[in-house]
Amino acid sequence: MQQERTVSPADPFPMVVVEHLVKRFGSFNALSDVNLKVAKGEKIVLCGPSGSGKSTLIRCINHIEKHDSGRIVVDGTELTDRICDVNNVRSEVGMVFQSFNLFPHLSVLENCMLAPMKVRGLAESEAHQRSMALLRKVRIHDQANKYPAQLSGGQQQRVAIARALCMQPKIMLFDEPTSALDPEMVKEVLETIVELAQDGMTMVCVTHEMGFAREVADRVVFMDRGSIVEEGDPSTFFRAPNTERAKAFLNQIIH
Amino acid sequence: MFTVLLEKTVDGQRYIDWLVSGLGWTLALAFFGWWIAIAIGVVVGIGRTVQNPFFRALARLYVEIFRNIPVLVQMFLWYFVLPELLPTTMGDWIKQIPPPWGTFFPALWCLGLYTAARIAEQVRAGIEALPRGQDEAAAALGLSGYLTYRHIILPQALRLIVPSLTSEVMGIYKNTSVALTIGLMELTAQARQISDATFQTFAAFGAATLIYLALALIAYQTMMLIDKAVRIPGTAPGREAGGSDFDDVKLESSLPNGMEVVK
Repeated sequence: MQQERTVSPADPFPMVVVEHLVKRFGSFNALSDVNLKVAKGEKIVLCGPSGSGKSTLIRCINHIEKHDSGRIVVDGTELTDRICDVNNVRSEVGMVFQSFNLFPHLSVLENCMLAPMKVRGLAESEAHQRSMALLRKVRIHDQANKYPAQLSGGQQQRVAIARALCMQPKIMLFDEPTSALDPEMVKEVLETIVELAQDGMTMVCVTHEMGFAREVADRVVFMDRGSIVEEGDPSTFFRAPNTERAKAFLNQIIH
Repeated sequence: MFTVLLEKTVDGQRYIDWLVSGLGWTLALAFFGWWIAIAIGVVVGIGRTVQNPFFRALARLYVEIFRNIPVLVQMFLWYFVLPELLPTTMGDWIKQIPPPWGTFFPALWCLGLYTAARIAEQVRAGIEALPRGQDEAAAALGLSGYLTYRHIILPQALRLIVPSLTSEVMGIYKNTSVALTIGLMELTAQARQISDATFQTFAAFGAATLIYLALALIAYQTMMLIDKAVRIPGTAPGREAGGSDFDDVKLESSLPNGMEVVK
Protein backbone atom coordinates (compact mmCIF):
# COMPACT_ATOMS: atom_id res chain seq x y z
CA MET A 1 0.00 0.00 0.00
CA GLN A 2 1.12 3.51 -0.79
CA GLN A 3 1.17 4.60 2.81
CA GLU A 4 3.40 1.75 3.93
CA ARG A 5 5.93 2.24 1.20
CA THR A 6 6.55 5.91 1.74
CA VAL A 7 6.80 6.00 5.52
CA SER A 8 10.31 7.23 6.14
CA PRO A 9 13.12 4.72 6.43
CA ALA A 10 13.14 2.75 9.64
CA ASP A 11 14.04 5.18 12.37
CA PRO A 12 14.23 3.73 15.86
CA PHE A 13 13.53 7.12 17.49
CA PRO A 14 11.14 9.09 15.34
CA MET A 15 10.46 12.65 16.47
CA VAL A 16 6.71 12.27 16.24
CA VAL A 17 4.60 9.15 16.14
CA VAL A 18 0.89 9.46 15.54
CA GLU A 19 -1.09 6.23 15.72
CA HIS A 20 -4.78 5.65 15.07
CA LEU A 21 -5.55 9.24 15.93
CA VAL A 22 -9.21 10.15 16.18
CA LYS A 23 -10.54 13.64 16.84
CA ARG A 24 -14.18 14.58 16.83
CA PHE A 25 -15.84 17.96 17.07
CA GLY A 26 -19.29 16.99 18.25
CA SER A 27 -20.50 14.49 15.70
CA PHE A 28 -18.04 15.67 13.07
CA ASN A 29 -15.03 13.43 12.55
CA ALA A 30 -12.17 15.87 12.12
CA LEU A 31 -9.60 13.08 12.13
CA SER A 32 -10.32 9.41 11.69
CA ASP A 33 -7.57 6.87 12.23
CA VAL A 34 -4.60 9.00 11.20
CA ASN A 35 -1.14 7.42 11.27
CA LEU A 36 1.99 9.46 10.75
CA LYS A 37 5.65 9.21 11.64
CA VAL A 38 8.03 12.09 11.43
CA ALA A 39 11.73 11.25 11.52
CA LYS A 40 14.36 13.54 13.02
CA GLY A 41 15.27 16.19 10.50
CA GLU A 42 12.42 15.32 8.21
CA LYS A 43 10.36 18.06 6.57
CA ILE A 44 6.77 17.22 5.89
CA VAL A 45 4.26 19.31 4.02
CA LEU A 46 0.63 18.66 4.84
CA CYS A 47 -1.85 19.69 2.21
CA GLY A 48 -5.44 19.08 1.35
CA PRO A 49 -8.70 20.91 0.89
CA SER A 50 -10.00 23.08 3.68
CA GLY A 51 -11.71 21.07 6.39
CA SER A 52 -9.57 18.04 5.64
CA GLY A 53 -8.08 17.99 9.15
CA LYS A 54 -4.52 19.14 8.44
CA SER A 55 -4.60 21.98 10.95
CA THR A 56 -6.35 19.80 13.48
CA LEU A 57 -3.63 17.19 13.09
CA ILE A 58 -0.77 19.54 13.88
CA ARG A 59 -2.76 21.19 16.64
CA CYS A 60 -3.14 17.75 18.20
CA ILE A 61 0.61 17.20 18.04
CA ASN A 62 1.17 19.85 20.70
CA HIS A 63 -2.14 19.21 22.39
CA ILE A 64 -3.79 22.50 21.60
CA GLU A 65 -6.60 20.20 20.55
CA LYS A 66 -7.13 17.16 22.74
CA HIS A 67 -7.47 13.98 20.72
CA ASP A 68 -10.27 11.53 21.45
CA SER A 69 -8.38 8.29 20.91
CA GLY A 70 -5.15 6.98 19.51
CA ARG A 71 -1.60 7.80 20.54
CA ILE A 72 0.68 10.74 19.99
CA VAL A 73 4.31 10.38 21.04
CA VAL A 74 6.57 13.40 20.69
CA ASP A 75 10.28 12.74 21.14
CA GLY A 76 9.57 9.76 23.36
CA THR A 77 6.92 11.42 25.53
CA GLU A 78 3.38 10.25 25.07
CA LEU A 79 0.77 12.99 25.19
CA THR A 80 -1.70 12.21 27.90
CA ASP A 81 -3.88 14.51 29.88
CA ARG A 82 -1.22 14.94 32.51
CA ILE A 83 -0.45 18.61 32.53
CA CYS A 84 3.30 18.28 33.10
CA ASP A 85 3.65 15.98 30.08
CA VAL A 86 1.71 18.42 27.98
CA ASN A 87 3.77 21.43 29.02
CA ASN A 88 7.01 19.48 28.57
CA VAL A 89 6.05 18.47 25.07
CA ARG A 90 4.85 21.94 24.19
CA SER A 91 8.10 23.52 25.22
CA GLU A 92 9.91 21.17 22.82
CA VAL A 93 7.53 21.83 19.96
CA GLY A 94 7.55 25.20 18.25
CA MET A 95 4.36 26.37 16.64
CA VAL A 96 3.72 29.13 14.14
CA PHE A 97 0.13 30.17 13.55
CA GLN A 98 -1.72 31.49 10.56
CA SER A 99 -2.63 34.67 12.40
CA PHE A 100 0.81 35.10 14.04
CA ASN A 101 -0.62 35.37 17.56
CA LEU A 102 2.14 37.60 18.83
CA PHE A 103 1.50 39.11 22.24
CA PRO A 104 0.49 42.68 21.31
CA HIS A 105 1.33 44.20 24.71
CA LEU A 106 4.94 43.01 24.60
CA SER A 107 7.71 44.32 22.40
CA VAL A 108 9.21 42.06 19.77
CA LEU A 109 12.10 41.31 22.07
CA GLU A 110 9.84 40.64 25.06
CA ASN A 111 7.73 38.31 22.94
CA CYS A 112 10.85 36.25 22.33
CA MET A 113 12.26 36.43 25.85
CA LEU A 114 9.13 35.59 27.83
CA ALA A 115 8.95 31.82 27.45
CA PRO A 116 12.70 31.13 27.70
CA MET A 117 12.78 33.05 30.99
CA LYS A 118 9.51 31.87 32.52
CA VAL A 119 9.40 28.29 31.23
CA ARG A 120 13.07 27.43 30.79
CA GLY A 121 14.29 29.61 33.66
CA LEU A 122 16.93 31.39 31.60
CA ALA A 123 18.58 34.46 33.06
CA GLU A 124 17.51 37.73 31.47
CA SER A 125 20.88 38.37 29.87
CA GLU A 126 20.97 34.92 28.36
CA ALA A 127 17.40 35.15 27.08
CA HIS A 128 18.20 38.57 25.63
CA GLN A 129 21.24 37.26 23.84
CA ARG A 130 19.42 34.25 22.44
CA SER A 131 16.45 36.34 21.33
CA MET A 132 18.61 38.90 19.57
CA ALA A 133 20.56 36.15 17.80
CA LEU A 134 17.36 34.58 16.50
CA LEU A 135 15.81 37.90 15.57
CA ARG A 136 18.96 38.55 13.57
CA LYS A 137 18.54 35.17 11.94
CA VAL A 138 15.07 36.13 10.73
CA ARG A 139 16.47 39.57 9.85
CA ILE A 140 14.27 41.62 12.12
CA HIS A 141 16.69 42.49 14.92
CA ASP A 142 16.51 46.20 14.08
CA GLN A 143 12.82 46.14 15.07
CA ALA A 144 13.42 44.43 18.41
CA ASN A 145 11.97 47.24 20.50
CA LYS A 146 8.88 47.81 18.40
CA TYR A 147 5.48 46.39 19.22
CA PRO A 148 3.70 43.86 17.00
CA ALA A 149 1.07 46.35 15.82
CA GLN A 150 3.88 48.50 14.42
CA LEU A 151 5.10 45.74 12.10
CA SER A 152 3.85 44.41 8.78
CA GLY A 153 2.26 40.98 8.61
CA GLY A 154 5.39 39.42 7.14
CA GLN A 155 7.54 40.94 9.86
CA GLN A 156 5.14 39.75 12.53
CA GLN A 157 5.24 36.23 11.19
CA ARG A 158 9.04 36.25 11.18
CA VAL A 159 8.98 37.42 14.80
CA ALA A 160 6.60 34.56 15.55
CA ILE A 161 9.10 32.16 14.01
CA ALA A 162 11.93 33.64 16.06
CA ARG A 163 9.78 33.47 19.19
CA ALA A 164 9.17 29.76 18.65
CA LEU A 165 12.86 29.16 17.93
CA CYS A 166 13.87 30.84 21.19
CA MET A 167 12.62 27.78 23.03
CA GLN A 168 15.09 25.71 20.98
CA PRO A 169 12.36 23.32 19.88
CA LYS A 170 13.12 19.92 18.45
CA ILE A 171 10.38 20.24 15.89
CA MET A 172 8.54 23.15 14.34
CA LEU A 173 4.88 23.06 13.35
CA PHE A 174 3.62 25.61 10.85
CA ASP A 175 -0.12 26.09 10.51
CA GLU A 176 -0.61 27.86 7.18
CA PRO A 177 2.09 30.39 8.01
CA THR A 178 1.56 32.49 4.90
CA SER A 179 -2.22 32.33 4.45
CA ALA A 180 -2.92 35.53 6.34
CA LEU A 181 -0.24 37.51 4.52
CA ASP A 182 -0.45 39.94 1.66
CA PRO A 183 1.06 38.35 -1.43
CA GLU A 184 4.20 40.49 -1.40
CA MET A 185 5.05 39.30 2.10
CA VAL A 186 4.68 35.60 1.48
CA LYS A 187 8.16 35.33 0.01
CA GLU A 188 10.07 36.78 2.97
CA VAL A 189 8.36 34.37 5.34
CA LEU A 190 8.85 31.35 3.09
CA GLU A 191 12.52 32.20 2.68
CA THR A 192 12.89 32.23 6.44
CA ILE A 193 11.28 28.81 6.70
CA VAL A 194 13.44 27.45 3.88
CA GLU A 195 16.56 28.61 5.70
CA LEU A 196 15.33 26.89 8.81
CA ALA A 197 14.79 23.71 6.83
CA GLN A 198 18.32 23.94 5.47
CA ASP A 199 19.62 24.10 9.04
CA GLY A 200 18.14 20.65 9.54
CA MET A 201 15.10 21.53 11.65
CA THR A 202 12.41 18.86 11.77
CA MET A 203 9.21 20.43 10.55
CA VAL A 204 5.62 19.78 9.70
CA CYS A 205 4.09 22.52 7.61
CA VAL A 206 0.50 22.96 6.54
CA THR A 207 0.61 25.04 3.40
CA HIS A 208 -0.77 25.45 -0.06
CA GLU A 209 2.46 26.96 -1.35
CA MET A 210 3.35 24.19 -3.74
CA GLY A 211 6.58 25.77 -4.91
CA PHE A 212 7.72 25.80 -1.30
CA ALA A 213 6.61 22.20 -0.86
CA ARG A 214 8.66 21.12 -3.86
CA GLU A 215 11.71 22.94 -2.56
CA VAL A 216 11.86 21.80 1.06
CA ALA A 217 9.58 18.83 1.63
CA ASP A 218 10.98 15.35 2.06
CA ARG A 219 7.44 14.08 1.98
CA VAL A 220 4.10 15.52 1.02
CA VAL A 221 1.13 14.21 2.96
CA PHE A 222 -2.25 14.74 1.36
CA MET A 223 -5.29 14.70 3.59
CA ASP A 224 -8.96 14.71 2.79
CA ARG A 225 -11.98 14.36 5.06
CA GLY A 226 -10.00 13.60 8.16
CA SER A 227 -7.66 10.95 6.89
CA ILE A 228 -4.38 10.68 5.08
CA VAL A 229 -5.23 9.79 1.51
CA GLU A 230 -1.83 9.76 -0.06
CA GLU A 231 1.78 10.53 0.73
CA GLY A 232 4.92 10.57 -1.27
CA ASP A 233 7.98 12.56 -2.20
CA PRO A 234 7.05 15.91 -3.68
CA SER A 235 8.20 15.33 -7.22
CA THR A 236 6.14 12.15 -7.57
CA PHE A 237 3.17 13.57 -5.76
CA PHE A 238 2.92 16.71 -7.85
CA ARG A 239 3.68 15.02 -11.17
CA ALA A 240 1.66 11.88 -10.80
CA PRO A 241 -0.62 11.66 -7.78
CA ASN A 242 -2.04 8.20 -7.23
CA THR A 243 -5.50 8.99 -6.06
CA GLU A 244 -8.34 10.76 -7.80
CA ARG A 245 -8.91 13.02 -4.82
CA ALA A 246 -5.32 14.23 -4.88
CA LYS A 247 -5.55 14.78 -8.63
CA ALA A 248 -8.71 16.81 -8.21
CA PHE A 249 -7.12 18.86 -5.44
CA LEU A 250 -3.96 19.58 -7.43
CA ASN A 251 -6.01 20.58 -10.44
CA GLN A 252 -7.72 23.15 -8.32
CA ILE A 253 -4.65 24.78 -6.88
CA ILE A 254 -2.29 24.55 -9.86
CA HIS A 255 -3.53 26.37 -12.89
CA MET B 1 -25.87 82.14 47.90
CA PHE B 2 -23.29 79.88 49.48
CA THR B 3 -22.41 82.49 52.11
CA VAL B 4 -24.30 80.43 54.67
CA LEU B 5 -21.45 77.95 54.48
CA LEU B 6 -19.12 80.46 56.06
CA GLU B 7 -21.39 81.08 59.05
CA LYS B 8 -20.52 79.69 62.47
CA THR B 9 -22.17 76.50 63.61
CA VAL B 10 -23.35 75.78 67.11
CA ASP B 11 -20.13 73.87 67.81
CA GLY B 12 -17.94 76.83 66.84
CA GLN B 13 -16.89 75.55 63.41
CA ARG B 14 -18.12 76.86 60.11
CA TYR B 15 -20.62 74.91 58.02
CA ILE B 16 -18.04 74.52 55.31
CA ASP B 17 -15.89 72.58 57.76
CA TRP B 18 -18.73 70.08 58.06
CA LEU B 19 -18.73 69.71 54.29
CA VAL B 20 -14.97 69.25 54.18
CA SER B 21 -15.16 66.62 56.89
CA GLY B 22 -17.91 64.87 54.94
CA LEU B 23 -15.83 65.05 51.79
CA GLY B 24 -12.96 63.42 53.68
CA TRP B 25 -15.11 60.44 54.66
CA THR B 26 -16.50 60.17 51.15
CA LEU B 27 -13.01 60.12 49.66
CA ALA B 28 -11.69 57.65 52.23
CA LEU B 29 -14.61 55.33 51.59
CA ALA B 30 -14.25 55.53 47.81
CA PHE B 31 -10.46 55.26 47.80
CA PHE B 32 -10.01 52.30 50.12
CA GLY B 33 -13.20 50.67 48.85
CA TRP B 34 -11.79 50.90 45.35
CA TRP B 35 -8.67 48.93 46.22
CA ILE B 36 -10.71 46.25 47.94
CA ALA B 37 -12.95 46.13 44.88
CA ILE B 38 -10.08 45.88 42.41
CA ALA B 39 -8.28 43.17 44.37
CA ILE B 40 -11.35 40.99 44.83
CA GLY B 41 -12.84 41.88 41.45
CA VAL B 42 -9.78 40.75 39.52
CA VAL B 43 -9.58 37.48 41.43
CA VAL B 44 -13.29 36.75 41.00
CA GLY B 45 -13.18 37.83 37.35
CA ILE B 46 -10.37 35.37 36.71
CA GLY B 47 -12.34 32.75 38.59
CA ARG B 48 -15.21 33.24 36.15
CA THR B 49 -12.96 32.21 33.26
CA VAL B 50 -10.87 29.33 34.61
CA GLN B 51 -11.35 25.70 33.54
CA ASN B 52 -12.06 24.37 37.02
CA PRO B 53 -15.87 24.19 37.37
CA PHE B 54 -15.75 24.57 41.15
CA PHE B 55 -13.96 27.92 41.07
CA ARG B 56 -16.11 29.04 38.19
CA ALA B 57 -19.27 28.29 40.15
CA LEU B 58 -17.89 29.98 43.25
CA ALA B 59 -17.04 33.13 41.31
CA ARG B 60 -20.43 33.09 39.64
CA LEU B 61 -22.13 32.78 43.03
CA TYR B 62 -20.17 35.75 44.35
CA VAL B 63 -21.11 37.93 41.41
CA GLU B 64 -24.79 36.98 41.47
CA ILE B 65 -25.11 37.66 45.18
CA PHE B 66 -23.25 40.93 45.43
CA ARG B 67 -24.37 42.41 42.15
CA ASN B 68 -28.04 41.63 42.48
CA ILE B 69 -28.81 42.82 45.98
CA PRO B 70 -29.46 46.57 46.16
CA VAL B 71 -26.50 48.35 47.65
CA LEU B 72 -28.75 49.92 50.31
CA VAL B 73 -29.91 46.50 51.46
CA GLN B 74 -26.31 45.29 51.53
CA MET B 75 -25.43 48.29 53.68
CA PHE B 76 -28.10 47.29 56.19
CA LEU B 77 -27.01 43.66 56.07
CA TRP B 78 -23.42 44.50 56.97
CA TYR B 79 -24.35 47.02 59.63
CA PHE B 80 -27.48 45.66 61.31
CA VAL B 81 -27.66 41.98 60.43
CA LEU B 82 -24.07 40.75 60.47
CA PRO B 83 -23.45 41.44 64.21
CA GLU B 84 -26.60 39.46 65.02
CA LEU B 85 -25.50 36.48 62.93
CA LEU B 86 -22.08 36.25 64.52
CA PRO B 87 -21.45 34.64 67.92
CA THR B 88 -22.60 36.98 70.67
CA THR B 89 -19.16 38.04 71.90
CA MET B 90 -18.00 38.88 68.42
CA GLY B 91 -21.25 40.66 67.60
CA ASP B 92 -21.02 42.72 70.75
CA TRP B 93 -17.43 43.59 69.99
CA ILE B 94 -18.45 44.86 66.56
CA LYS B 95 -21.32 46.89 68.01
CA GLN B 96 -18.94 48.55 70.45
CA ILE B 97 -16.51 49.81 67.83
CA PRO B 98 -16.59 53.56 68.51
CA PRO B 99 -18.03 55.93 65.92
CA PRO B 100 -17.25 56.83 63.24
CA TRP B 101 -15.33 53.58 62.70
CA GLY B 102 -18.32 51.48 63.70
CA THR B 103 -20.12 52.73 60.60
CA PHE B 104 -17.09 53.34 58.39
CA PHE B 105 -15.92 49.73 58.24
CA PRO B 106 -19.29 48.16 57.40
CA ALA B 107 -19.74 50.82 54.71
CA LEU B 108 -16.24 50.17 53.39
CA TRP B 109 -16.83 46.41 53.17
CA CYS B 110 -20.21 46.90 51.63
CA LEU B 111 -19.03 49.21 48.86
CA GLY B 112 -15.84 47.24 48.25
CA LEU B 113 -17.57 43.89 47.89
CA TYR B 114 -20.45 45.29 45.84
CA THR B 115 -18.13 47.09 43.43
CA ALA B 116 -15.89 44.01 43.27
CA ALA B 117 -18.77 42.01 41.81
CA ARG B 118 -19.24 44.63 39.10
CA ILE B 119 -15.52 44.82 38.37
CA ALA B 120 -15.37 41.02 38.21
CA GLU B 121 -17.83 41.11 35.34
CA GLN B 122 -15.75 43.71 33.53
CA VAL B 123 -12.61 41.62 34.03
CA ARG B 124 -14.39 38.55 32.73
CA ALA B 125 -15.60 40.45 29.67
CA GLY B 126 -12.07 41.74 29.08
CA ILE B 127 -10.59 38.26 29.28
CA GLU B 128 -13.24 36.80 27.00
CA ALA B 129 -12.71 39.57 24.47
CA LEU B 130 -9.13 38.46 23.83
CA PRO B 131 -8.59 36.36 20.72
CA ARG B 132 -8.33 32.59 21.30
CA GLY B 133 -4.97 32.72 19.55
CA GLN B 134 -3.39 34.40 22.56
CA ASP B 135 -4.14 31.41 24.78
CA GLU B 136 -3.00 29.04 22.08
CA ALA B 137 0.25 30.86 21.44
CA ALA B 138 1.03 30.90 25.15
CA ALA B 139 0.19 27.22 25.45
CA ALA B 140 2.31 26.39 22.40
CA LEU B 141 5.28 28.02 24.12
CA GLY B 142 4.79 25.79 27.14
CA LEU B 143 3.48 28.51 29.46
CA SER B 144 1.40 27.12 32.31
CA GLY B 145 -2.08 28.39 33.06
CA TYR B 146 -0.78 30.65 35.80
CA LEU B 147 1.97 32.14 33.62
CA THR B 148 -0.49 32.66 30.79
CA TYR B 149 -2.86 34.63 32.99
CA ARG B 150 -0.06 36.54 34.66
CA HIS B 151 1.88 37.59 31.57
CA ILE B 152 -0.49 37.32 28.62
CA ILE B 153 -4.16 37.44 29.57
CA LEU B 154 -4.36 39.89 32.46
CA PRO B 155 -2.08 42.62 31.09
CA GLN B 156 -4.19 42.73 27.95
CA ALA B 157 -7.60 42.29 29.58
CA LEU B 158 -6.98 45.00 32.18
CA ARG B 159 -5.86 47.46 29.51
CA LEU B 160 -8.97 46.66 27.54
CA ILE B 161 -11.32 47.46 30.41
CA VAL B 162 -9.82 50.74 31.61
CA PRO B 163 -12.52 52.78 29.82
CA SER B 164 -15.34 50.74 31.32
CA LEU B 165 -13.73 50.83 34.77
CA THR B 166 -14.15 54.60 34.65
CA SER B 167 -17.84 54.20 35.34
CA GLU B 168 -17.06 51.87 38.22
CA VAL B 169 -14.78 54.48 39.78
CA MET B 170 -17.58 57.02 39.46
CA GLY B 171 -20.04 54.44 40.73
CA ILE B 172 -18.20 53.67 43.94
CA TYR B 173 -17.82 57.25 45.05
CA LYS B 174 -21.42 58.08 44.22
CA ASN B 175 -22.54 55.02 46.17
CA THR B 176 -20.68 56.30 49.22
CA SER B 177 -23.72 58.49 49.82
CA VAL B 178 -25.65 55.36 50.77
CA ALA B 179 -23.46 55.16 53.89
CA LEU B 180 -25.48 58.01 55.38
CA THR B 181 -28.28 55.52 56.01
CA ILE B 182 -26.17 53.74 58.62
CA GLY B 183 -25.06 57.02 60.14
CA LEU B 184 -21.68 57.75 58.56
CA MET B 185 -21.31 61.53 58.28
CA GLU B 186 -20.09 61.62 54.72
CA LEU B 187 -20.72 64.39 52.23
CA THR B 188 -24.43 63.90 51.67
CA ALA B 189 -25.09 63.41 55.38
CA GLN B 190 -23.23 66.62 56.17
CA ALA B 191 -25.19 68.46 53.50
CA ARG B 192 -28.40 67.28 55.09
CA GLN B 193 -27.16 68.29 58.51
CA ILE B 194 -26.39 71.79 57.24
CA SER B 195 -29.76 71.95 55.58
CA ASP B 196 -31.46 70.91 58.81
CA ALA B 197 -29.51 73.44 60.86
CA THR B 198 -29.85 76.41 58.54
CA PHE B 199 -32.91 75.65 56.40
CA GLN B 200 -30.73 76.66 53.45
CA THR B 201 -31.51 73.47 51.57
CA PHE B 202 -30.49 74.80 48.21
CA ALA B 203 -27.08 76.03 49.37
CA ALA B 204 -26.31 72.86 51.30
CA PHE B 205 -27.19 70.38 48.60
CA GLY B 206 -25.99 72.71 45.84
CA ALA B 207 -22.54 72.71 47.36
CA ALA B 208 -22.57 68.94 47.77
CA THR B 209 -23.68 68.57 44.15
CA LEU B 210 -20.83 70.73 42.87
CA ILE B 211 -18.34 68.72 44.89
CA TYR B 212 -19.70 65.44 43.51
CA LEU B 213 -19.51 66.83 39.98
CA ALA B 214 -15.92 67.96 40.48
CA LEU B 215 -15.00 64.52 41.79
CA ALA B 216 -16.58 62.88 38.76
CA LEU B 217 -14.56 65.09 36.47
CA ILE B 218 -11.34 64.31 38.30
CA ALA B 219 -12.07 60.59 38.22
CA TYR B 220 -12.83 60.74 34.51
CA GLN B 221 -9.69 62.67 33.66
CA THR B 222 -7.54 60.37 35.78
CA MET B 223 -8.90 57.30 34.04
CA MET B 224 -8.29 58.91 30.64
CA LEU B 225 -4.69 59.54 31.64
CA ILE B 226 -4.28 55.95 32.79
CA ASP B 227 -5.83 54.69 29.56
CA LYS B 228 -3.38 56.77 27.57
CA ALA B 229 -0.41 55.74 29.70
CA VAL B 230 -0.99 52.01 29.31
CA ARG B 231 -1.96 52.07 25.65
CA ILE B 232 -0.01 49.59 23.58
CA PRO B 233 2.24 51.34 21.05
CA GLY B 234 0.97 51.01 17.51
CA THR B 235 -2.67 50.58 18.46
CA ALA B 236 -4.83 53.47 17.42
CA PRO B 237 -6.52 55.57 20.11
CA GLY B 238 -10.21 54.92 20.51
CA ARG B 239 -9.93 51.44 19.09
CA GLU B 240 -10.13 48.63 21.56
CA ALA B 241 -6.52 47.73 22.07
CA GLY B 242 -5.07 44.28 22.00
CA GLY B 243 -5.55 41.56 19.50
CA SER B 244 -8.17 43.28 17.39
CA ASP B 245 -5.51 44.28 14.91
CA PHE B 246 -4.69 40.66 14.30
CA ASP B 247 -8.28 39.78 13.64
CA ASP B 248 -8.41 42.50 11.05
CA VAL B 249 -5.34 41.16 9.33
CA LYS B 250 -6.77 37.69 9.36
CA LEU B 251 -10.15 38.72 8.08
CA GLU B 252 -8.84 40.95 5.36
CA SER B 253 -6.29 38.67 3.86
CA SER B 254 -7.12 35.09 4.70
CA LEU B 255 -10.50 35.24 3.05
CA PRO B 256 -9.30 35.87 -0.50
CA ASN B 257 -6.60 33.23 -0.06
CA GLY B 258 -9.05 30.72 1.24
CA MET B 259 -11.32 31.38 -1.68
CA GLU B 260 -8.51 30.86 -4.12
CA VAL B 261 -8.04 27.37 -2.77
CA VAL B 262 -11.70 26.55 -2.99
CA LYS B 263 -12.08 27.83 -6.51
